[in-house]
Amino acid sequence: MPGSVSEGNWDLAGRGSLDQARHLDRLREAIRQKLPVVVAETPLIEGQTQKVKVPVKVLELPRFRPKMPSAPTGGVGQGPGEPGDIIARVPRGGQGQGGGDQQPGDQPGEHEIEVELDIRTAIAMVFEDLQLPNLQDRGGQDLWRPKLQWNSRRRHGTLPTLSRRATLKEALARSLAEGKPLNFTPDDLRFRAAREEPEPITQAAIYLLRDISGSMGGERKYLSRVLTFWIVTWLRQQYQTVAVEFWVHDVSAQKTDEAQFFGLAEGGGTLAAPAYQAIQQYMQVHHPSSQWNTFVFHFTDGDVADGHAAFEAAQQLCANVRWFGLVELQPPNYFLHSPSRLSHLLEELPRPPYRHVLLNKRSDVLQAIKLLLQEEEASA
Amino acid sequence: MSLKAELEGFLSRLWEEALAFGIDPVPVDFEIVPAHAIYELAAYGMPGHYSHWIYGRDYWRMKQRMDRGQGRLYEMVIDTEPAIAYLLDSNTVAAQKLVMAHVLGHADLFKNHLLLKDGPKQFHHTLAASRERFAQYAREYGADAVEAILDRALSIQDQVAVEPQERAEPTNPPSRPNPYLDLWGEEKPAARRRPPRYSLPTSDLLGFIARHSPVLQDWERDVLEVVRLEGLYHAPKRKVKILHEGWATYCHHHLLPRLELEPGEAIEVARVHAQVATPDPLRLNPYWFGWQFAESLVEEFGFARAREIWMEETDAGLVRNYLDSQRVRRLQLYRYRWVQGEVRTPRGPLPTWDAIYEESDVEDLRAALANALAVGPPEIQVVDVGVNGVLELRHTPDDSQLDPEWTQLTLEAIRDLWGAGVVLYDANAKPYRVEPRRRG
Repeated sequence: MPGSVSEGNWDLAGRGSLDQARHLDRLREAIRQKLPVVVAETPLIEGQTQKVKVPVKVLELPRFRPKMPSAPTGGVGQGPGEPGDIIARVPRGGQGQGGGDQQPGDQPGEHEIEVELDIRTAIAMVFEDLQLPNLQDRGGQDLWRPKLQWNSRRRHGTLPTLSRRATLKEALARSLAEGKPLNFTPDDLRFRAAREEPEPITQAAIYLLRDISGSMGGERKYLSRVLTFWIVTWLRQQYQTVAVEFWVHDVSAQKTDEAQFFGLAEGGGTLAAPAYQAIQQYMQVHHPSSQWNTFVFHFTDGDVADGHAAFEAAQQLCANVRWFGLVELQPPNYFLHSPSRLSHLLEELPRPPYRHVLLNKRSDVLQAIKLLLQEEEASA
Repeated sequence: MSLKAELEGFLSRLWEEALAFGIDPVPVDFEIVPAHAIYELAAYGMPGHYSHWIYGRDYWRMKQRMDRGQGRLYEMVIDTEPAIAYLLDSNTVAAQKLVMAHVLGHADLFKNHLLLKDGPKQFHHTLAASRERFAQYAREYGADAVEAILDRALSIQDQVAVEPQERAEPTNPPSRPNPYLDLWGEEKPAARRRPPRYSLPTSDLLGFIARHSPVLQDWERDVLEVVRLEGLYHAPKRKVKILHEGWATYCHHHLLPRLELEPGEAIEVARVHAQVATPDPLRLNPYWFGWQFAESLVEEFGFARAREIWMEETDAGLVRNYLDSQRVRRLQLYRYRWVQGEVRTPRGPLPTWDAIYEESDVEDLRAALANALAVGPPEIQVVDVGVNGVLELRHTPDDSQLDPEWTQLTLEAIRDLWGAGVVLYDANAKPYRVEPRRRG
């Protein structure tokens, strides 16, 4: 009696995916902590439909296990060879092969896996965590603009704007008052009419300004890339229309596109004042503050050659923008957070609109986003 | 002819040849299933298995790895009666035939190997029944409560053992109170709580906690007992991995030439065989190592005696008792050690680990290999229940030391199950302590 052959029966059907979902639940916190920095490769302008891959460490249950040797030892293999031959060679990374310094349990284990998330889900998770309040509509006439609303009636007009319902109402009322059956006269005609009403402006212009002087490469470029993603994503959620302008500067400023914004690098010194002035001039033409909510974010290491001129230029800029954010990217192992020359110069700017964050490592990105995008109390 | 009919026909011919060849397998029910089913079965280890997130994690990791093309699972076979073998539906027909012959080798071990033949053969039904009960517990006490208890129980699933029944006098099962007793005006015997008697020391840590923990509810004890049974079910299987794959490879290698295959199938069979049974420079490939070992035993002792040896050894025992210098040469075995090296690249030197082929004599190699194969999970004994109900544990000395951080976290899981403090003395009598959880 040899047994049998059949097709398609197994008992677990689907259980793996269900338990995997539970596993993901337990990974949620780990994913959330990684999310702010894995979006670096996502393009800003058309990045909304993509997936992000989040590398996370797998969860392990604690168990009794032998201590791993701190360095790999050896073993038994099979195959041809002579004593002294090198039979395999692997790159020696930071963690080596032992990897015994990991924490079990709710802490990550030693193996990494990739979780694929929809970018929208990822964004929702991060902002849920940040708990940023939605931006308030700013009062004042400059952020209202007139808009035609078709909500009025009048006695004269062109035939296409005839309101049949209003006309019928008029005719009914008149006919009843006169005690006659329903009839229409030219006096009954009513037409729809437009009236000008103020409407809040729901468009925003984001000016991203990057310092491309020599010291702004590597990790600091990466951090500015991550931060710009979250700034743009957040403001996109707040306004119907969002225009993003990319500017770079060293001693002079220049408008660029997204690719160049992150790609350009120059040597030499750098000045902030000409860049602020250039942006201000451009903004007055293309995104006047009577029509647009304007936001300016300046990414720099703060090592500028400006004098007081930078403060004056920034002050002028501040008068016309909703936020002016200075993002100071310091070297990773900078000794203490001492303010840079630029942030020292700008210290006296009114807050709001001025805001200032220091950033030097990936783990601080979440905090920086929060400081940067927080709506400040307008008490000052 | 449908695939099913073709394979059925093949199976009956294969079965006859297998018996004629001299093996005695348990009958096998073959199921042709899609890839994700194989991943699922490999992650859970058994049909009928209950849910827990670690299996979902394993399923997903396996799926990710296989989807990237790192390895392939041709089959998955379960030690039941009849045995169940799952065949990947995307295998070629020739590969299915090879896998079926291979599975009969496994089935021979299931039925005849000393460590396996008396094991539970309907364990999938046991698990399926417990799955129903666990689902009921989840409805009654909440899925989180069930997960919390499973998290902790699975942490010590390897710390199980079958030991003689405890010395404690048989306690009468709690009988229902006689409803007519008061008619006679008899005094109720005062309910006197007997101090529990333990048979100590014991290596059955999980079983001990399941029976004697003062804080667990009955349903929680049931969960622990199921996890313990599963641990016991898997324990012997860890000791015979090379024997299993080696024998199965030996069987398909000798059975297939005795059967007529379609033209072209022989090439595919040879391709799959070569893909699976190939020496690995850095570790033992059980398919190749076991198969070659079996061949050498048959050459030396004849088929019948070689099969007898095969059915009573473990992986470690096979190496310790039969790996002589001749076999070391035939199997091209060597020891190697990792040393720090460097390669020059255009971007500067790149640090590496280099595996260096080492000169070593047969004795050393045999001892090193047998010891490595004999390593199991650490043995933790319950030695006493002390003042304030503190559970006292001891790590039975072996060649290795416990990982301190993992040990501490595992002890916390034990503390939650035990409900009082826990102390563990490692091989150097160094204590790890966990205080009882504060209430409120």
